[in-house]
Amino acid sequence: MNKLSLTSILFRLLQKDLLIAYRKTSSYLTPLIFFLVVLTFFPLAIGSDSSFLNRIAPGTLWIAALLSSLLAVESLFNEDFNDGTLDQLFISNQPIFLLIIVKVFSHWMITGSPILLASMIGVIFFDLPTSSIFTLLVSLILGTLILSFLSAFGGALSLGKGAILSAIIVLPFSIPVLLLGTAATNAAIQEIEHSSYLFFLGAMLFIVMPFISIATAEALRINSD
Amino acid sequence: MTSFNKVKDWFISMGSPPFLYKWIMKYLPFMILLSLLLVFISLSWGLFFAPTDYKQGDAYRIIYIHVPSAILSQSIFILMAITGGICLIWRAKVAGMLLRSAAPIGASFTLMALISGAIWGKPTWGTWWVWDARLTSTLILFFIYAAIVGIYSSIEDKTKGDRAAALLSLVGVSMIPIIKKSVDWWQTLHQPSTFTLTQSPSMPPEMYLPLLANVLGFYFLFIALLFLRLRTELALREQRKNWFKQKILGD
Amino acid sequence: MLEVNNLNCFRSNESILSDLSFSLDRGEVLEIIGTNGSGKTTLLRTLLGLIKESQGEIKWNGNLVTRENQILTSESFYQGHSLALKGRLTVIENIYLSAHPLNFETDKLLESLERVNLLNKKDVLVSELSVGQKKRVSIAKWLLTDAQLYLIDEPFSALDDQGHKVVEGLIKELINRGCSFLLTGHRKSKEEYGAFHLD
Repeated sequence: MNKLSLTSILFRLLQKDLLIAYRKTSSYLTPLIFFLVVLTFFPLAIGSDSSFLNRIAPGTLWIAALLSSLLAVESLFNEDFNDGTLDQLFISNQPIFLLIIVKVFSHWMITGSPILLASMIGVIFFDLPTSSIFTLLVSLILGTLILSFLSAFGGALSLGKGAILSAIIVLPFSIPVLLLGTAATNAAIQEIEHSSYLFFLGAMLFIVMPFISIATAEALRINSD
Repeated sequence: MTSFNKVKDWFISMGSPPFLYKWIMKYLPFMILLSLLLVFISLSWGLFFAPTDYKQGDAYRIIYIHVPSAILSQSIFILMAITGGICLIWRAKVAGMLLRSAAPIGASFTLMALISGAIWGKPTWGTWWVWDARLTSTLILFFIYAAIVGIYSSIEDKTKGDRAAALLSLVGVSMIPIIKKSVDWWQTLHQPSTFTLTQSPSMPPEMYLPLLANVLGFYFLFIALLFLRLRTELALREQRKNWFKQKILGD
Repeated sequence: MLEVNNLNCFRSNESILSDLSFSLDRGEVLEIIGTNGSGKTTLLRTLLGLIKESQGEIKWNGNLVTRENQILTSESFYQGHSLALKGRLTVIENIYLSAHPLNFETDKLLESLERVNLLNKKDVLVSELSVGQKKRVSIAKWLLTDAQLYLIDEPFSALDDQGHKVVEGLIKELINRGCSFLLTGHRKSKEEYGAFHLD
């Protein structure tokens, strides 16, 4: 019997998660709706005249994205932990660090990428200039990816203990993303130089990805003991 | 035996709960007395005998609490990361217990730094809170402490809880410089005038000597509190072991 | 061939396994028998390296199994108490996308499903199956792996008489190929199987 190559194994893992999510509409719909609800609540609670909207738009969009990522963390490892799949992943002899990157990426595709679509509705809600859309999307892609990795760590550490504990762990670490993302979005709206912010976001993703994946693997190991 | 070997042997023996317990019990009363004395002396020095500042009047005296608390809050965090690393790599149970004992003390010092910072801010700047880089970073440090306490208290298995807290401390200590840098940068974006709540470096010796004394006093206070908590933690975990039962029945 | 010497396992300061020693040869079946909480699952998980707080020696085919190497896990198949099945995937998808690296041709897969009497349910979602049927999905994987050591936690629970016969038949076939089985259970199931009591 010939052994499967590492890439096919990783691909099958991705396929499995995506297939399950495809059949479970709530996995991609709820983060999206939650994002929209949070977006709605800020103008409701704080005020909605147009000049003001422009000012609160970046912060609101990013806080909504942050909260949405944080709450979605429960679907990342909890089910696999409970049904024994996590054990199987550990003993499958594949590099755990790569398995985690694939899991986080599939989780991002399911819960993070709908936010990109929903942010377009945000553009309408806050009456943002069309010139800012591209930067907004790029910053959100990078930012939500980083947040997915950070939430994976939080979720792995607080496995089975609920999203709130995971959120407390992740929130302080997500501050740089929040600050960079809002600065980028704000600069895009004001039409000032903003490519350096995107560059920093990209660099952060590059650093966070391996480092946090290893920490996540260790957290999962600790909790599976 | 060279002194290095002596120190190394002491370190290794500290990893054994019975040795550590006996050692703590031996020095605990002395440490409590010494630290209370030091803190009493240095605080009175700073609060009552140090000269009045020409700019801020007597209100500045709060730095004798604020600065040592802030220094301790950061040192304890680094200590937790180091013991966390030892706990994870060498699976040393004592390192885990040390981390768990130090965490709430560090969190309290952080809280003290925040409150004393607010008390300083009111007469000096007019408001109880300013979003300056240092205070904001201290607040974030407090949240990370809270997360660490939260994680180990949510895990019933003590050893597992230690290791989870250790991992979080390590990740925390690595993320803090990034968070600090980003908060510093954010503050320059939103507040062009730099306010800082630290005293300018040119402090006359009559002012910084009591400050150093307070820092020293607070360090000793931390060690005394750590001993207390560590002793309790050791007792809780080793209560069923023979060495512990003998000690309690024997004394 | 599996050899375990003086295995100790601790969980939150309490000793769950103390000083266990046994061995398992090729083509042999050993049942670990004990009451609930006696450490049967812990033993299997320790052998697989999922539990690391342990002391003692584990040898696979003469080589020492350590925390770093994968000589045991690369040649074993583990069926835990929770079967690692996904309710929203069909029977066939569960096997095809299994976390355990199985490789197989379609006809082998169908043959295996036939063996466990699930061929007619191959496109049914696992969430719609009964407990016994779910067990059989996991059992279908046994013939599709090239593992030498099978670690099965409570193989017979939730199975009816027919299921029992299927499992016994599979075990027999696999041990004839030279595989070994380490099973756990509450009581001895067959005379031919070796037994090791934990308590």
